[in-house]
Amino acid sequence: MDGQGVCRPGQIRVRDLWEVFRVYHSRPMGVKEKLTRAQKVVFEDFWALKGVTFSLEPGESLAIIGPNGSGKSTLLKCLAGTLTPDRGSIDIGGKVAGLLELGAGFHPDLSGKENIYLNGSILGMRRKEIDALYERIVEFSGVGEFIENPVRNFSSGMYVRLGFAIAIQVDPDVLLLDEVLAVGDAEFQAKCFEKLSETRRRGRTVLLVTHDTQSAMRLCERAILLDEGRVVAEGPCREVVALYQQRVIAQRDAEPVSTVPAQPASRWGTGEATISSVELLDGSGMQVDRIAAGEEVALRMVFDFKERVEYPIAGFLLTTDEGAEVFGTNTLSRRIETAVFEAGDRAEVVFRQKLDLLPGRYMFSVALAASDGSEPIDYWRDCLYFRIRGASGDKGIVDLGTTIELSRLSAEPELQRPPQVLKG
Amino acid sequence: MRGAEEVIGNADPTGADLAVPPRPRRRPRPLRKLLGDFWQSRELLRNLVARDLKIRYKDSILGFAWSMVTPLATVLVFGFIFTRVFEVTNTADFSLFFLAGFLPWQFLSGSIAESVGAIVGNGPLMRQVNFPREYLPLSKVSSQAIHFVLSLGVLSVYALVRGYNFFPFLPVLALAILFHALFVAGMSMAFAAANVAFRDLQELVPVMLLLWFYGSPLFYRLEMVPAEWRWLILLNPMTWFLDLYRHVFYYLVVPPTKVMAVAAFLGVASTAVGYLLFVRLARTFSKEL
Repeated sequence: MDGQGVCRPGQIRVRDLWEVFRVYHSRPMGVKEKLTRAQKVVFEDFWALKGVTFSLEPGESLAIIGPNGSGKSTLLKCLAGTLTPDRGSIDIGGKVAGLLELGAGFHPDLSGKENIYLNGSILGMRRKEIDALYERIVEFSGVGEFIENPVRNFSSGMYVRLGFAIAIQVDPDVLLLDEVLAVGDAEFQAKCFEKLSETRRRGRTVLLVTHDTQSAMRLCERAILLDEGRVVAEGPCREVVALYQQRVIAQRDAEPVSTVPAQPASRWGTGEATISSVELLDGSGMQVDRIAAGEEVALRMVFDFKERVEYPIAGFLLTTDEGAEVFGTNTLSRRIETAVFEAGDRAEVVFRQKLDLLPGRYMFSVALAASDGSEPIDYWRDCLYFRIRGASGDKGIVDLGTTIELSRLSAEPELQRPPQVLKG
Repeated sequence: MRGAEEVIGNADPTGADLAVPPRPRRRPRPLRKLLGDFWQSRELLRNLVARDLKIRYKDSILGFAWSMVTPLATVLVFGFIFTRVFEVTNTADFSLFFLAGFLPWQFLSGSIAESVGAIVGNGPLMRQVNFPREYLPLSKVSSQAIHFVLSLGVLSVYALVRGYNFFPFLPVLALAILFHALFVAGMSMAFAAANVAFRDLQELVPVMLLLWFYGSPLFYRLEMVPAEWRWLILLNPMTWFLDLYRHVFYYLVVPPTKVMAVAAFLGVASTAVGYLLFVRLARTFSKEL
């Protein structure tokens, strides 16, 4: 970390940072291959970071967000100094500590106490400094009397808590956290948040890599969005998170949802008739697999009869892609009498409905069954997938079309004000 | 806020389409800063050594005393075999002669054997924090050095009992240990670093150490080697170090200046080369693990 930059404690300057990994397709690791060169070394350079530039002032907090493989963790490792920049430079002022991997650096055979001292000295602390912090570390970790036991006997939660306790009590000028807040119970998480906020108030710089946009917004003022090793957006955390979410949604909505024509995941039945096609159509009769919430769609099934069938039942079952049943109906439960079909007949059934569902992936199973409903003639399980587009903060599966009214019931002079100011 | 103007596909993972800036030139750390850094994190070295020793003797009753068992057992076994069974007569006290070479040998072989996996075996630690990587092999060397010094204690007692008064040669012993330790440290760093890219080394080391063992004048004196082959044994750095130790404990003579000079050179050269190699390879450790 040399260079011209003179950084104050907690200050970070990253200039045009590039980091490359060599991805080997076949790598001669042995003597034989190396000596004979019988095997060619085939590798590609994979640039995990492509010219990342940003800077932070002491006391600022930055969330690094982005999809998997966008270079977030690589960036954090460069800042921690465990990776050397291949191009560009990093200047960091003061002491850097972090939790990049859970409990890494712990030796399983050593006790929690011995590991605190070892880890502390790895983080650059003197024995006396650790002595002074020891009680606080143990207390914060909540590990209790287990501290004298080898850490291999610790639960994974204890591991993380101890690691976090050390990293945060070391009181570094720059604290690096990689996706570690997700672990631990709610109580410990709350404690971590509190401690992190306090750390920030004392002017320490915090960098957080996370998928959890909620905690990013709680902890960080600023954020950068990485994608494929580049900084795609930079700014106030809330705005960057919003942009990230838009991108995630846009990307997901662009993914192919279903296979056309519909294919059942599994299929069975007595075979007097067969389902020859299943389609999902929008209002204009076009086949669709992406639907806006609340849109009316038609599920169309075509049957070919191989034998005479009297008054069969046609129906469908709609499930979420986790398999939870959302809704199912059929001609019998709706008291619609079908007809008598002869061999060679062809028929279609159309179910029309409004899909007031929350965004997500759903699927249809469809069937034709004998008139008493005892046996399926042809059953297509999970044959048609579709996606409800967009994003929603609501929970559950269906949108009940809730409307919300709010009014103040106590007589106050500001009663005529808009209802949103109900505060204090 | 910068917009999403650069949403580029990573279609070409080879990076051929990337405007990768040229590789920067790196300036090596000046020696003063190097030594300063080293002194700064001495506590880490101490803790790493403590970790190794604690883990090794975790559930053992004798604990540290084990490092003295080997020389004691060797004295008994070799004393019996070589004086009673083989009836070696040209060596006054074969046990002493052998131990004065074998204990330094163990320091070297133990350090290399432990160091070779020191980087590879500490992947999680290396991915987590930045600290001078050379401390990993050096901590192994240090814990071996502690064993070595303890076992020299046993050797000293034995020598005195047998009437070999080596006290006048203690300054020579101190220098011998210093040069020898520098040599061991350099070798250990080189092996630890090379093993990262070349994992076969770990398997090769026992074989290599076996050959080296017999290529070192441990059971024999240099003069017993046929004259036309003596140069080969002299190429072996260990020959020179063993000679130093034997001058102290066995011959009870001040070693020739030439031997001292060669040992000093070997020690410094090994540390310098080993360290430079280590630093050069250390850049890729985190990526390779």
